Amino acid sequence: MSQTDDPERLAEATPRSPLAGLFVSAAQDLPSDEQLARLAAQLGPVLNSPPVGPPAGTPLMVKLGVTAGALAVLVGAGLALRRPAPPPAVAPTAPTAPAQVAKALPPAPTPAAAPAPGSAASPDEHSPPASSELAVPGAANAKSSSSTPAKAPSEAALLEQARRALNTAPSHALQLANQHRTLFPHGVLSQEREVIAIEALRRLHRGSEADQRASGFTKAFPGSAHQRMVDEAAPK
Amino acid sequence: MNDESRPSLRQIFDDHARYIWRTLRHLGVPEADTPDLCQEVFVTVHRKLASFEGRSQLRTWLYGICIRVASEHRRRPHVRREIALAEPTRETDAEPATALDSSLEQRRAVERMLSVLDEDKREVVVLYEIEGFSMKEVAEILGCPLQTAYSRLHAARALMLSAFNAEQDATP
Repeated sequence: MSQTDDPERLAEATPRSPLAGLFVSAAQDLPSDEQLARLAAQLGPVLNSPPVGPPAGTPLMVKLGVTAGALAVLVGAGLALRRPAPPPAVAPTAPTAPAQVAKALPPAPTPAAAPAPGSAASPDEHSPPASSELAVPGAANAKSSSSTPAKAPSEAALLEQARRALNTAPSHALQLANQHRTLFPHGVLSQEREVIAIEALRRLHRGSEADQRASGFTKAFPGSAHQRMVDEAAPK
Repeated sequence: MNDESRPSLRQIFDDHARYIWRTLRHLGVPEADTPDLCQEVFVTVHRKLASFEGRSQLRTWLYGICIRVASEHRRRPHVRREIALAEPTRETDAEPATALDSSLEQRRAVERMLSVLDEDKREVVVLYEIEGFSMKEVAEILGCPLQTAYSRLHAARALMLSAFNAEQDATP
């Protein structure tokens, strides 16, 4: 795809560049078939699912439904690829980029404002990084509730519940979205959670909170495919 | 771009995954992190594919995502520390013993060569010299003026050549 006024590439240049061999070698440095097959297997459900984000004009609930349909596959693939959590009681892990994203979002309502029955964990600013949470979804929960059964809802399950509750019980949907935020502050489905939370706030006629959360979304996820849904859910 | 002409994620994966992987490696993503970052690229593609309007070529759009994912990864604090600590290794062994060693040595030599470049120049070199994009496409992917891309390429070549010569001079 070279254009006539582009310089000769070093790998093909005449006279031969001393760097030519290195670039030829670099071009041949491809992953093995096994590595690709492993990646494909881990991404499998995502690879075969329809793209997220239907065209403009689709009702919001339908869009959310489509999005949620992809949640399970995304999480399934996301979880599969994450490496196991590091052993406990090691030096604090440095925050990751998603941690910065989480900070850019407005704070979740306090438990007093939005009590979450059954939500065991309290917001934890020093939560472990995404990889460990995702590898052990129940870890954060188990830490603070020894009496609760060890099994915690997965990211996708929690958001699917929230999405289903939107129509009939938006306050419950909001609780579940906030619970997701507590359990998975850096989860791979943070964008989808925020869309649900904003829509729930709008349905509860908490417009200023919806606006605030929508602003946080725009700041945290610039260029997101969900921006249109956020704009519709929280009209200015 | 309408739904019929838009390729599926599976097609995109089959056509481009190995090159996305290669690009991430040459952009300085550690080998251990490459599968995760590759996954991140494809999850992002999955999220955005419906909004891809075909104003740019699919390949340039895809590599734009790849560049951003790698760039964001490099800015994560723990990665910055690891990069600072991980000086490119210089082999002192006399002769590589096997073809595998030779291939590994070549890979390290490429990494040493690219590591003398800052991120901006490295991106141009990887896209132009290794991935075969035209300079116009490189500028489009990186969102910079064409002349800037040319300047980065020329500066990068001079730096790499200088580092290569210095290494040759230091070899007994």
